[in-house]
Parts: sequence; C-alpha cells; structure tokens
Amino acid sequence: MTEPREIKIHVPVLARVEGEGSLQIDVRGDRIETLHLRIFEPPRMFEKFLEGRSYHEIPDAVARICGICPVAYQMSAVQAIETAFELEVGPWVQAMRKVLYYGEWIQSHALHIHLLAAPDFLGFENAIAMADEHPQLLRRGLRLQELGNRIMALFGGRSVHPVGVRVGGFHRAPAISDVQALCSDLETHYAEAMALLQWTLELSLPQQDQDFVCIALGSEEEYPIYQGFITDGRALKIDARQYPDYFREFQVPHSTALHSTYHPQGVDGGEGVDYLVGPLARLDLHFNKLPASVRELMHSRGFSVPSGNLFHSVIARAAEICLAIHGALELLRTYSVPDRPYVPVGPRAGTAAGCSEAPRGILWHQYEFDRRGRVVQARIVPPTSQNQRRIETDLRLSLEAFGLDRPEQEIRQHAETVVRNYDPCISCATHFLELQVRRA
Amino acid sequence: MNEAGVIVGIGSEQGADHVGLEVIEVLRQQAWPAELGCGLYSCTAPAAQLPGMLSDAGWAVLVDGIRAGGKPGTARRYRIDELLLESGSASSHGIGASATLALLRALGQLPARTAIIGIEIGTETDTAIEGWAQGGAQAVRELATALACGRAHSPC
Repeated sequence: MTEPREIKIHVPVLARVEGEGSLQIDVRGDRIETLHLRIFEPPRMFEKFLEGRSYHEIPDAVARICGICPVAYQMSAVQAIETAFELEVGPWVQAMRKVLYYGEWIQSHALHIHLLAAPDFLGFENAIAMADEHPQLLRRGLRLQELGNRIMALFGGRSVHPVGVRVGGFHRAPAISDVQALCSDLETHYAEAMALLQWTLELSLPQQDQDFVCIALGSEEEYPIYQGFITDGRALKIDARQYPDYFREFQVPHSTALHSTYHPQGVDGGEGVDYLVGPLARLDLHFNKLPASVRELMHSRGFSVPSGNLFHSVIARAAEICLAIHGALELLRTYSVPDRPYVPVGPRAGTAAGCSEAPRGILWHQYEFDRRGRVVQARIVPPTSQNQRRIETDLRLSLEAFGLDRPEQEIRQHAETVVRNYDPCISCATHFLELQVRRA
Repeated sequence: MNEAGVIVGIGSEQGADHVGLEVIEVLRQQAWPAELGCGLYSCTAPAAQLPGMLSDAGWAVLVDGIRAGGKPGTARRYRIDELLLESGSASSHGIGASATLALLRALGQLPARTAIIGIEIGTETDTAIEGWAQGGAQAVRELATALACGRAHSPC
C-alpha cells in the first residue's frame, strides 16, 4: 500500500517582503494539515511609548512605525486627534493631505510592483536579475517611485519619516513655483503610469478566484484615501469610532502581530471571518470612481470587477498609481498659499478614532487624551495584521489548487508569490504586544 | 573635479543598525561637508530612497553598519563590488541597501565614484554607537575628500 506523501515546507525567511516573517506548512497527502504565517519580529511597543506623550508629538512618533508608509500613520493619527479635539482643519489642509498621501501611494505601489512583484511574474529571482532584460521597466519604476518621494518631500519635508505634518495642518505651505514644477512632473509621468497599468493588464497571471470580504473606506464622491466611512460594500457603513464593535483583534501563538476578524453582526454577535484590506479590496468596491481613462483602459483589456483573484493586486496597484497622479493634479491645479497652513489647536480630554487608507489597506488609530492633550491610551491596527488570516486562508486554498503533488521548490515559490500579493509590511504589524508585569 | 557628491547614512532607527544614521548626525555638526559641497542624507528605506539620493551625484559615500566579524566599532572602507554579494533578501527596513545598490549598478544609475564605509557592529548593544559614529565620521571625511578630488574611485 502506498503511503500518502508527507512534506514539510519551511520558508525560514520570506524574501521580497518588508520585515521578517516565515511560513510553516505541513502537508499529508493532498491536504494541508498545518499552515502558519509566522511573524517573529520583536514587538515594538509604539502604543505603550505614546502613553504620556503630548498630542503634538504623535505625528512625528507614529511616522517612525514604518519607513514605507509613514504618511498613512500620520494621517490616521491626526484624524483621531482632531476628532477628539473637535477641530475642523478646513478644505486646504484636507486637500493637501490627500496630495501628500497620493505621493505615498505612488512611491509604495511603484516600489512593490517593480522590485517585489515583477520578478515573480516575469520568472526572475529578483529585480537585479531582471535588469539586463527589462532595464526600461525598472527605470520607469524608479522614476515613478521618485515622483512619489518628491510629492512627499514637498509637503512632508522629507520622503521618509516626514516632519511636515502637524495636528491642525502642516508646518509650512510649499511655494507656488514648487507646486507648479511638481504639476509639470505629474503631467509627464501620467503617461508612464498608464503604460505601467497596461503592462500589468497584459501580464500572464494565475487564474485563481476566491470568495472573500472586502473592507475599505467608503465615500459617495471619490475613491477614498484620506477619510471616509468603513464599509464592506454591503451592509456595513460605520465611522471609525465604531470599528471595535465589528472588528476583533487577538493574539495567536505563532505570530507577534495580532490577528483580526470581521463580525458582520457585531463582535458579540457570533463568529468572525477573515477579510481583505488593500488595493484589490478598494478596487472591487470603488472601481467606478477611478478616472475615466483608467476605467476605459482596464475595460479594453477585459478587466472587470469584482475580482476574487489576489494576483490582480498588481493591477490594482498600477491603477491606483494612475489615480494618485490624476488626483494630485486635480487638487494642485488651483493651488494657493494660505495665510496659515494650519489651524490652532486646543487640546481637551476625550477619546476618538481615525481611519485612512494606507497603501496596504485601512489603518485605524484610537487615542484617549487627558485635558492637557496627553495620551492616556493608544491603539493602532495596521493593515498587514488585519490581512494575516486572509493570507493564511489564501495560502491554504491557493496551494491546494496549485497541487500539493508538485515538487517542494515549486510549492514554496508559489506560496511566497501568494504572500507577496498582499505586499505585507511586517514591521508595521508588530507594534503591540500585551505586556504583563508580575511582581513578587 | 569637485562635482557635487552625497554622503548617505543607511540604517534602522532600532538597535546597533542605527550607527550609519548616527554618523550623519555627527557630520551635520561639522563644517567640512558644506565646504566640500556635498549633501548629507539619512536613509532608512534604501529601496525607496537611495535611487533619488544618488541620482545626479558625481560621487557618493555610503555608511552603514555591517557584521563582518571584525572588532565592533571598526570603520573600514569597501568598494561596491566587495559588498554586492547577496541577492537581497529583505531586511527589517525593506529591500536591503546592497540589493538596491546592485540594482542601480545593473541599470547604470550608480555614481561612477561610489564607495562604502562599513562600521562593524558585531553583536554589541547600541550603547557604544556614539563612539563608533565619531570614528566612522572621520573615516567618511577621508574617503569623501578623496572621492571629491578624484583621488579614489570605485570600479562600479
């Protein structure tokens, strides 16, 4: 009698993802017995570090949670702080925050598509190996990445750990001449972004549809990035402060990053499900809010929504680069320098939440302040930690569909590609661990 | 020959890998970088930042913490081709500096005169970094001066 094949695949360090994670898969025959996405980055304790800090320190502090998505952390934070202090920042600040955020989407998505994802789809070990055959593709990617950096530097002071954001607005407003120069760059690069989108639409991607819940910000008017209600595209339509009523975080033994589940009936209303946040979730829910030229190009190549294929995430990112350039241009065409780039802040006691769309998905912050505006308690839920269970479910489904009778190296490579679809930012995800102090 | 150059400190804000960034902070307090006409940059996300930092530079000095088995705190000069040994598995701050540099070299976008100061961090905690950074800054000054005047160049 033939014994069922047993294989144990251990990828000790996932390549081409940000941060340190590993994968453990135990297979017996045609079934996966155990699958764990192990994250072992040390917890970074940011939520604890923020306790006792004044509100004005939060934007600079949270920007250091991530070197790739610092703006996202700042935007969710200032939203929460300004809500707690009942501060209206006005249309100029809101518009320029969107522009800053668009810069981060451009930079993050361009980096991911060209340096992390493209090697998978073109059959190379890494981007360096691609350089001989695809130099123009990589150079275009670096130019788009640099465009994002310039936007972030113009409004944020610098592209990594920006220092230009403050509660109430910005520390300074760029000069009109600098904005005009940026607009010229944006116009130049829009054609490159559309060419990139076309390139992603022509990639030969695995066909693998799955059923999952999409969670993203919602808006009646626009493809949301900076603010909106939280939605699943169906019955869920809540504001940020209601997030804990429908989403539960909890610890699992194999990860230093907390897992999350969505409870459509409320956290007290039954079991939760895993869910997807990020570019494909946004695209599935808001495709009709993309610029017309982008939708037309996608339709012309046969792309339709909703897509249940996570390999389409690379297309979603390319579409969002186009959206971001288009959106930044629209907001900057009528740019003017305000009398003051911020509104004065009067701290008060209170608790409030903020939620914005990081490149990888919704990023939720909640703060409790004392009457002097010092943090009593902070809570941060990053997109990558929310996607962990979805990644594990995806891996199980994807690998069983891929075929567990294939050589181990092929299974390993496919598993890594599946994880990279989510562009996980592992360092962001490990910001919190429950701390118990036992004293004798 | 004194084209504009850049000095880039690469690292993480956590632990001993902070030493490259600390060197830049030391250099910001010194007058010679401005006299030499070079820019000073702190890089915590190499893949996202290095291409822009190095574009248009006539020469570049990169300073980073390394683990090469040497005495902690030792600053040593490396050519680019001495360090481009790995294909770039991810580090905790994104795609590593060596992978990014390898990519830029493959695309012909690395300044012709580029070299690295590696500061051995061993397994030390970060309490020794301040002393290391001072030594590293001195090594950077010597190398930057040489690159700026064309006396040293790295075969990239």
